[in-house]
Amino acid sequence: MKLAFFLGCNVPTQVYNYEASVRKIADVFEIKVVDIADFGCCGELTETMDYHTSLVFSARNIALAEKEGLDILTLCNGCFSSLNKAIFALRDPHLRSRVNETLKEIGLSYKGKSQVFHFHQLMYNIVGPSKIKEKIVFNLSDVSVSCHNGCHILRPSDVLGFDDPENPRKLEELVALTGARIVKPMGIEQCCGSVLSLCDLDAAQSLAIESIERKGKVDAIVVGCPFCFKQFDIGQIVARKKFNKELNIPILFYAELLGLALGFDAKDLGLNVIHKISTEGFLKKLGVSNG
Amino acid sequence: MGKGSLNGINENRDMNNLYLCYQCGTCSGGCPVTRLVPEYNIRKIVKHKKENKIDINNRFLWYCLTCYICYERCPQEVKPIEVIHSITNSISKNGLAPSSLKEGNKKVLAVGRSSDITKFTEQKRRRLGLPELKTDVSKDFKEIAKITGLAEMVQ
Repeated sequence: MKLAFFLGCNVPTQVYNYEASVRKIADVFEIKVVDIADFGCCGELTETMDYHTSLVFSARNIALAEKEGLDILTLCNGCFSSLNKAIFALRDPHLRSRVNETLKEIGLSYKGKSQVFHFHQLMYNIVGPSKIKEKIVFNLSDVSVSCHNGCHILRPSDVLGFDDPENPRKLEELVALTGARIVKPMGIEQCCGSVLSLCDLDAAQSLAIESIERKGKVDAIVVGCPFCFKQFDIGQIVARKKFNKELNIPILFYAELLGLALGFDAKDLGLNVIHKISTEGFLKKLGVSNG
Repeated sequence: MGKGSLNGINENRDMNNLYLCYQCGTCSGGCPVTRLVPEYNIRKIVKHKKENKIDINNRFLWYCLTCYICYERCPQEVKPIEVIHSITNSISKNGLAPSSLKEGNKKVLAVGRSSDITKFTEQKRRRLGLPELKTDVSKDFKEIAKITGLAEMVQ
């Protein structure tokens, strides 16, 4: 299987530990990820300012993949939702022709042929639990974790259709395959607050801290979105400095966790870089070196 | 259009159900922001939109997290989040988007991404065995923004 590898903005510049982990995992399952040099912003940041422009940005990226005849693999929830929302909206022929008028000026045309998958969706729906289980060589049963899906892989559910919008279970099922013990969070999963940091940093940070606290006592929180990752990871540093709160829970991408279970070295997965909350204690519990 | 009003402009989102809203408050009841910042109230924003009483200077209009809880739960399928976006789009057309959002979009127009691949990042990426990436993919973005007017809105 071959997929266009859509990194977006945050993955290649800030959380390339996620990228490194996914590239390794893709090899294991014989999925070829193809880098398309001109992929850029998915359009999410522009939607609140100008919906039409955001649609053109999304359609531009999808058109680049269509030219190669490829479906798209995204790592970020934001990219996943904005590209899929664009595909959904551009079923409308009027809107599509308006968007294509603009794309024509840069020599592209959107046809609506490529599908867009999130990494978690790829693992759950396409690779599938039984194949993943076959490849697991290292059992993570010494740690307990809580999952955080993030809003934009779940909602709008009529467009994304990956999991139940309020009671998701697929990420937990994927994580359970690694042997890690799952701790259910209190109440429904609360938004990490990331988008609000553009307007009200204090409120955004409060949301992040509250969201972390709902996860209970765990060795790590497992995420699948760069925005949630940053909110929770850096958010704990803020919690310490600003609110005098010591949380100290490492934040791991599901890809990093799966990478460990597939037998990769922690340092090759980027577990010793980027993370502001050290993963050392977590890895020690697993009897793994931090490199 | 009078100053401070947004009467009838920017309807390119699906707002067919706006007038079906019966103000039940399911949206604001489930909103994670309203619990924390009561000045942001999606039920009232939908009401004001119906009555053409939106105050474009209200900074709380920008407090939506885009978590889509209101979209999922609304019994009338009003799509409150799209109502909000249609309002913030109109405000942006007047050049009045928050500066943080303008800066983010300016970055996208400058390099094609909302953050840079710096020399430091390149080094770190190499150490992890990651491929080199084009640091500037902005050409198309600049061109598109000129045509759609985004280039002006971020000024």
